[in-house]
Amino acid sequence: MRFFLRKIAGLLVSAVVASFVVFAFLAVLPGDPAEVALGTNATPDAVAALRHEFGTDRPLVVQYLDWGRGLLHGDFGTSYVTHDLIGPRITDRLGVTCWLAAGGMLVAVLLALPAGVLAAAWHRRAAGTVLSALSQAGIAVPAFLAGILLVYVFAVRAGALPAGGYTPLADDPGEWARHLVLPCLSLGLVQGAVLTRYVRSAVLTVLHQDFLRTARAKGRRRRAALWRHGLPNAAVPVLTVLGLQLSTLLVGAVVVERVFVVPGLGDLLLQGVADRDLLLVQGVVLVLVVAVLVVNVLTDLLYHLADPRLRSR
Amino acid sequence: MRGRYGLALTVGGTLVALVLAAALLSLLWTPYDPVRVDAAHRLAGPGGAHLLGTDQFGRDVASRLMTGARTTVFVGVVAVGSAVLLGVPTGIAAGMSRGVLGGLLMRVGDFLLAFPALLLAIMLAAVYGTSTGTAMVAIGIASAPGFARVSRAATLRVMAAEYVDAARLARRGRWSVALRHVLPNIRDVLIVQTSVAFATAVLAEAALSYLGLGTPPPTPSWGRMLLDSQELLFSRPELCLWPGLAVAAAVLGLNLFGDGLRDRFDPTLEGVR
Amino acid sequence: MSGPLLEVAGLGVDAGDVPLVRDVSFAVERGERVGVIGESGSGKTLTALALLGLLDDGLRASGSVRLDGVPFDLVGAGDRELSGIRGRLAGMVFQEPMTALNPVMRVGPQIAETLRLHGARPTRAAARATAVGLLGRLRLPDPVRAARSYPHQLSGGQRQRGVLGIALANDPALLICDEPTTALDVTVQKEIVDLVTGLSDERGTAVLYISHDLALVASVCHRVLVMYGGRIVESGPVERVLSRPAHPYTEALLAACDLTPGTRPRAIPGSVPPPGAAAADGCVFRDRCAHADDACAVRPEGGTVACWHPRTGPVSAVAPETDVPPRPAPGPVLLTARGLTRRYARPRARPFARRAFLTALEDVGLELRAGRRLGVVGESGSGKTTLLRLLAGLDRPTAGTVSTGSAGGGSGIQVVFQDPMGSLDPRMRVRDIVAEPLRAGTGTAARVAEALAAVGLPPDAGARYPHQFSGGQRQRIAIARALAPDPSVLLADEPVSALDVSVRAQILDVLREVTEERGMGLCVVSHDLGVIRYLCDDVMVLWQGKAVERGAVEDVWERPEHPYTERLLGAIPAALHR
Repeated sequence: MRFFLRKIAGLLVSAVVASFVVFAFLAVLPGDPAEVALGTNATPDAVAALRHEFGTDRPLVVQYLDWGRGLLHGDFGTSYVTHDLIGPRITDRLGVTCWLAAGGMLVAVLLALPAGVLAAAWHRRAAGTVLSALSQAGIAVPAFLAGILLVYVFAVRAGALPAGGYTPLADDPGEWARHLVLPCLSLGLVQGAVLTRYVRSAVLTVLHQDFLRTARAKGRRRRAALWRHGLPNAAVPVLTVLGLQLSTLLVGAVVVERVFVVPGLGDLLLQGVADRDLLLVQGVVLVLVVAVLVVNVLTDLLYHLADPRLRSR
Repeated sequence: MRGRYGLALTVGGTLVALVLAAALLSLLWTPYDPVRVDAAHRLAGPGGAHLLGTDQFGRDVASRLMTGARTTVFVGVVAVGSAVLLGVPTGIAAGMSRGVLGGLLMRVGDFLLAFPALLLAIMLAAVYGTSTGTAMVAIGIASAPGFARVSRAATLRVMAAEYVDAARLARRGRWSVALRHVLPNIRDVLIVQTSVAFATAVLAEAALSYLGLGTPPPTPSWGRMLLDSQELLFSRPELCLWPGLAVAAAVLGLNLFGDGLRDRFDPTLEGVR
Repeated sequence: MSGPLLEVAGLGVDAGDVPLVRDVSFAVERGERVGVIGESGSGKTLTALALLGLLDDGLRASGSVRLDGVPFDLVGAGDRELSGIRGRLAGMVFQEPMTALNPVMRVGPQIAETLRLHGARPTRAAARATAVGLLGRLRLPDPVRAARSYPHQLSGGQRQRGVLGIALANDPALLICDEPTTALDVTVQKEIVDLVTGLSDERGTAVLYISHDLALVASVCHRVLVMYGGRIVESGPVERVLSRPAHPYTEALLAACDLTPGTRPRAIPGSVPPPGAAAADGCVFRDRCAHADDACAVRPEGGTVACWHPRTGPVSAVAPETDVPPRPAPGPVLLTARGLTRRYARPRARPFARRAFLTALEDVGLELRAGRRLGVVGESGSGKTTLLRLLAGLDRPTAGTVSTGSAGGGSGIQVVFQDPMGSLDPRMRVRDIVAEPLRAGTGTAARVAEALAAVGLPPDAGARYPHQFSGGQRQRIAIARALAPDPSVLLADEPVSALDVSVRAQILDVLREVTEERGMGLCVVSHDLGVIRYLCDDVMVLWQGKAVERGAVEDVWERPEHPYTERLLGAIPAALHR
């Protein structure tokens, strides 16, 4: 419990620091949003007026506090470029990205757990080597490349699945699923390959530990010993990796959204960059960073729950 | 057993050497000018005058791949190099000092890990515009905490060894311990980490160029080539294949190389030989 | 009750094409306790694991292992067949109690699991109740709590009782113990050994007891097998083998173990054979044997003694040598410690709570004079290593002072550490290691050569790396490094506990000789009272951070005053038969 509270406190501090870092980072920008918005041949008066309207004529500290106060109420401010509220745009897109990351995670776990355990259990056989080699090859393929290949195979050649686009779940669950399959696969296959390696090495480590021999000495068959005593122990290090992977997936989704033209956070972010819509970029980056921080804390908590040696401290 | 580590090292080393050779050769010679637009020979097939064909602007794909390798290697070297320079001294310092400093440095590192390379690059691109430089800085900053982490962990292991106590008894100062004992003993770990970080850098560079946030056109880069050829997936799918293969080969080579080195360095295998 | 309970014939173990164990044949009767003695690389643990088919992947057993009541040969039997035997007919206890239990599972269910795998297959609740009862019979103070604990919440001795509970749950006819007490403190070791012998007598369980410790095996077993280089070199009843050893190795090992003061243990020259010696031509001990001749180039085969020149007389070899010089008079004080106290801050229980402290050492003082040798004895957690680090200046005391007398020449204090691998930088050449305490430009090369010669290493050793040396040689290098700056005080932290018995005596002699020749003060920290008694003049007994007893070594040995010292002495296995 104490540990839990400490982690939550740490998370809050990190989130505040993150918001400051993100703000500071974008505030040092040499350009001026008002000038950018009005173009090069605007009059100084117009620029000053717009600057006042944006609030960028105030001291940076005031701007930060103002932005921060808004964040507490879920208000991410108003875009300098499109002049609409940023908050709702982010929440619209956040769901899509979360579906992507969750689906990718699901694929990765379903792939990596059996593959990693088998690769470890068979590490002296040809089958184990083949599995390791496959995972090595999978790691070397970036998610967007996997996406392009999948599009070629399933959309271009087979014509079975859409090459891109998105249908909200509420509109048509079937279409929603069809549109998500390829993006989730391309995220999940690559992450699954990475995860396979970690699962394999965790299981391999456990295979050589004394307690597994104790389990066999008490009459457990080799496979049962691995299943009952080995895997719960191997799960502990794998859990941490899972957390890291989820963060990687959230960010990887940004790229995959571009491949499949999925209207997620990444798409919004890139649009913000293209328009130099700093407040939008600021908001999306902060949401992603906080998501990563939250996932990290959750992983830490799970890790402590899984390992009694840490729990009793 | 040795044969297998040998295989990983050999295959990995060969792939890395191929990429390096292509990058170096492109400084001196490429079959065609990689950026010259040639409307007469758009989308020429492979074989013939153009080994791997031409793209939709009539640019020679093979030449662009070679020049792309140069971009990849350049970004990787600068990014990983600065990550090493930033991360390793920090990690060693944190590992050698037990005080508040070590903990603080690691906190900062952990915090930085929440900013993946891609997000950093996107923020940098939003501020400074897209360029090879922003990609390198972003990848470098994002890789540095990894180096700090690894070198701190390795340094802590070395500092716990009795030979460091012996060195302190021999009145060796901090710098002497760092140079005589810590560096030589964490060297292997750092070499492996460099190999892994390089692979990550190649992936990140490709992703950034693919998003249009890395090396701006017309300079060729593998990620950009993938983006350009994606439109032609229905008509000329093999145009995607070449840059894709190049990225995969480079990353696979670096990972295998790192694995091979790790197995070779692993002290627990020393006695088995 | 036809034949013996366990019958092993021609057992061999190979790692790929490297033969590790060869021609091991022996039998164990019901209720009999048989010891297997051997140093590192003797193949004793591999033999034990091979019996139940528990060898690691990559190791292959050959020969035959028959267990009474089992219709098939255990060697070559499948995992399914063997799993019906393990834990039911034969239980096994391992060396390292810290890692032998599953860390994420409570101890009770781990024992209950064994019960539920075999025989009547009781319900979960019944099995757990039985497990608690078993833990009680293993004399765990609070068995209910222990059963509910995770392994990390128990001490080493308690964990080993848990492992014993797993092995004994189904009341097997055979219990195999692989160095079950090596990782434990001396007093705990005694408790575990008493438990094993008691239960064996009570239930008629046969025990195969594997150990490197001659005295321990002598106190536990009826019969003993001596292994060397992957082969059995001698076997017979404990009394006979230990009082009239027939194989020169057994004889030499006994001599090397005998640390009676005033005698010189006969260190066995050389070091234990490398892996693969088991199948070499000729006698495995030939290279280190004082009696070897041409006949030994042919491998000796024998019933109880594998030797062409078995020793026949009584134990002449352990006769005291008389060349031990008388102890010099104490010189000036070199090192004084007063009121040394060291506390470590524990992490706060909650923010702003008062810090709790762990007192590792409390108000300990000592004085070391030139030419004297002081032993500090204690178990784990006694504060002995803390004391040594404070004396060496590697750590700062919370209270108290350490001062070095100016009388002694040389440059202060040097330390010989416990782990001969970890105390030498693997990336440095031996000459650079030895030269480390020397400042450049003071005839470094000559002093390195001198230091290497003083510890009996060849001059060309300097150009090599630590991993090219055996454990004993590495400890010599560590001593050479400590000697190089010509210190007035030498501190040694468990200098021989990581070494094989047969080379232990060599290192003790080196320590004794170099300190004697140079009139240094020596302070040795050890858990082994025998080592201290052999090497030192005075002793200090540390217990829970306090010095509970001190005095001349023989006085403390003969007439201990503090109850803890008494317990410590009582825990030392009865002296060898002589």
